[in-house]
Amino acid sequence: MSQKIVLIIEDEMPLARAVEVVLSDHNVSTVIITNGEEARTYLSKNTPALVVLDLLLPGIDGFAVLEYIRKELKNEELPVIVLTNYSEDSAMKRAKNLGVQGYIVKTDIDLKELPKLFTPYLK
Amino acid sequence: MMLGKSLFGIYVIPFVLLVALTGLGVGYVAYNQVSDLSKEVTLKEFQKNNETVTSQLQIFLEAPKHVAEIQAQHLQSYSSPEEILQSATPKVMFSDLLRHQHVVSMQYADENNFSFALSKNVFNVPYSYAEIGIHPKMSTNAAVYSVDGAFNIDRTKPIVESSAYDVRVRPWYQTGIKSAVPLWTDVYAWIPETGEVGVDYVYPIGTAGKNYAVLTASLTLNSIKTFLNELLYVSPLSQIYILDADGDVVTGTDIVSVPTPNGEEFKQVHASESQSKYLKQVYADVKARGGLLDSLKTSYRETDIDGETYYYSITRYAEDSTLEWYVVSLLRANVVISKIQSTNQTMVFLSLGTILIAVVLAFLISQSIIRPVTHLNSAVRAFEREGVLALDEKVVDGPSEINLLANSFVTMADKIRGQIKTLEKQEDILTIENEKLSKTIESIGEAVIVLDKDLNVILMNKVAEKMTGNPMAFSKGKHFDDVCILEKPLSHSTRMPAFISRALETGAIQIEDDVYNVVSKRGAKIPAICLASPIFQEEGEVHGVVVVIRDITEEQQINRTKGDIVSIASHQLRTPLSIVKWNSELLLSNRTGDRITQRERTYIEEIANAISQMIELVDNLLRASQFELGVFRIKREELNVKEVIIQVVEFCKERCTRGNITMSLKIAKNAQKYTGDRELFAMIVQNLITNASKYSKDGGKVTISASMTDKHFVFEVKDEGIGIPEEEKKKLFTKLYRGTEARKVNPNGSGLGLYIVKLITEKVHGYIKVQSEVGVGSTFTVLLPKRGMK
Repeated sequence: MSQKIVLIIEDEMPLARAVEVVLSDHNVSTVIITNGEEARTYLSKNTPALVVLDLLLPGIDGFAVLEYIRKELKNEELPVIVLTNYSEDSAMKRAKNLGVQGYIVKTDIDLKELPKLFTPYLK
Repeated sequence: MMLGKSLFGIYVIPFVLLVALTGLGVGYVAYNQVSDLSKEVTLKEFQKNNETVTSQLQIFLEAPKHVAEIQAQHLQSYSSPEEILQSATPKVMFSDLLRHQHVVSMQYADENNFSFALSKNVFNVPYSYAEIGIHPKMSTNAAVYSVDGAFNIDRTKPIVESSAYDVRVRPWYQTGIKSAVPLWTDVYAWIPETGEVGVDYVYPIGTAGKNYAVLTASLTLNSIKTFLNELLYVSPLSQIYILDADGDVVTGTDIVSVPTPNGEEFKQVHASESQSKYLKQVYADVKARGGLLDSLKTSYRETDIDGETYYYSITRYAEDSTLEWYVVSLLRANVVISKIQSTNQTMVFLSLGTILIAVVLAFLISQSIIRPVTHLNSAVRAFEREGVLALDEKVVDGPSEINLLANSFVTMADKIRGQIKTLEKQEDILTIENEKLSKTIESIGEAVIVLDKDLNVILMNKVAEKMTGNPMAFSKGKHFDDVCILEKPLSHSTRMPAFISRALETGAIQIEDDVYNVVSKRGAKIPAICLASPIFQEEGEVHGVVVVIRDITEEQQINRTKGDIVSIASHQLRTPLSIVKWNSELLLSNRTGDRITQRERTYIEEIANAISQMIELVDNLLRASQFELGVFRIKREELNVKEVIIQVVEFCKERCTRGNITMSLKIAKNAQKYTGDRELFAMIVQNLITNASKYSKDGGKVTISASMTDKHFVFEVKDEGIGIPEEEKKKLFTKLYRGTEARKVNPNGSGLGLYIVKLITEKVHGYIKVQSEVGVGSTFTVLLPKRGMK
């Protein structure tokens, strides 16, 4: 597996770490960023293979990060999968309009299923 | 008053015009007809008059004859002039002369040149007596004396006395004495001094062949002219002339006769040149026609003289071959025409006068009708304003028909007044009722708009005024659309929602599930829920609709807050739940360095199960709140019913089934596809199947079926489980309710599953029912609209 990086933007470290663990089992490198501002700085310099994005973040929220990617960086190609506990239709719709590749409610999914969902974007 | 539509305009003006036009038309026709007619009449009259003229003239001309005849017979008995003079004869002759107006002179003459003459209007005295000739008893040879009416001769002073008086016996005296028959003399000047010109009728006296004297009766031409002029009264348009046998003028109505200077016999009468000319022409014309015919007496002839047309009638007057005169009546065509013209002018004036009178009369008559009607009209106007019908005398004293009409109006006005009073009473009652109603409507907290059957606003309360921004004064009579805009939040349609007209059409109360925005005049949007209720007339006909709009701003605010709380709470709950879930999963995943004992594994598994239940509870709470608030959208897609059910069943098998439960699936052919929201449909299916499996007995059978009826897609889940007691069925679908038996079987149930199913089915216009028997099992049936979820 190539050294592609998955950027995990998640303010809850226990969750970010759990994701990192299952991905590392599959030899996927990860970068964890816990707030929106840092995420933007990082993204302005780096292009990860995949962004796993929580929506509820301290300060700049997930939507703003998403808008930054799509509108300011004008990067339509960068795969973004939302991993959040926000399950409202409105949020889901908004995210889809901003061109996310997946929307996963954390409590709905077992940890072990995540790599299967991510790998298509890591090849 | 519009002239065109008034009685005056409709009847009077045309009537007057008609009268005028008819008059003019008749006048025109009459003018032409009468012109011809009057010409004919004038000429006929002319002809008839001529007959009269001729016969009158004949009588006149024969007068000397009669006078002479009578006197001559008288004289026959005398043998000498002396005898005559001594007798009363001159006196008798005088009285005879007086009787004959136009005979101016009578004369007796014997062969010895003795004569006496009686004259009227000669020598400038009324009556005169002349003795002429040498007579032994006479002092002079000639003297003329004046005589009074009783024939007293005034010998004191002769009018003319001359011994030198040239006494001549006229040659025709001699002729007369020799003649066997009386004869007329030619025209001559018998008193040259006075210019008297005339003719004599000479009557021989004596026995046949031995006459010794003559008696003459004289006519002057002036007296003939005077008579002719008198005859003009009979034939006023013509001129009458007398011509002699040579065609020369003897005299005529407009002839000035002039005596010859020397007083010798003559027959020249001075006619003017033109008179002579046309009379000659008439004479020539008569001659050219072969002389005078009797027929000429009764007809007229037409001749052109110098381009002028004349009508003439000519009569021959001949006496004993000694006198041959022609009496000519002459009528100038111009005179006829001018007579006709003057007649016509008179007629035109008369016609115009008649027309004018007719017009004035028509106008007056019409005014006599219109004026009372106009007054009646103003009276009725006043009645409209003041409710009192006061008729002035112009109406009452009008024509009887108008009077009748006026009386009818008075009667009618009385009746109307009576009815108005009744109505006013009823109105009072209605006002009270209306006030009650208004107060009731005003006191309602919701906006109430009452519409008629054309959906125009009849009434609206203060709340409605405030909500729409349109006051009642503006809204009354306007269409609902113009007063209140109800907009569906997502459609932005400003057309009146169908439920209002549906209430009118169906006569059934329409309660809208959808939330509308009332868009006020200023553009503010107020969320509201609405209902439309038909208003029935006594006959049961729908004649209006009441729209009730409830402002749900506050409710929505509360709900939103509630929703926000739920949603945030759910999210905040989920985060730690997911941490526990995923980390217990990590612990159980047996990775290097994380070795755990079997006992520890069991503990962690219990934590994971509890967390799963917790997660389910949170999910359900979140969904329930979403449905309650209506903040979700129903998607429409064609669903493969079997596929959805199998997915759910697979999911259930993993998570919630227990023991040996058999599941069977029956899907009717016509129920394989259904249009609706996949997630909502899956949620129904999942909750029902989960419940069925949860509450089934060990080895129980769950039958899942889908079918289609006329109106519904029917999804049914039948179990052979614990069953539901009758008294609990009603509460079964309420939020957080849990059956007593169910609690025993599954103490951790949330009490939200069936509540959510009920919320979903009702939201998509379906319903849910349950059949159950304790200890036997339950059947849950969901009926969804055949046309799909909406």
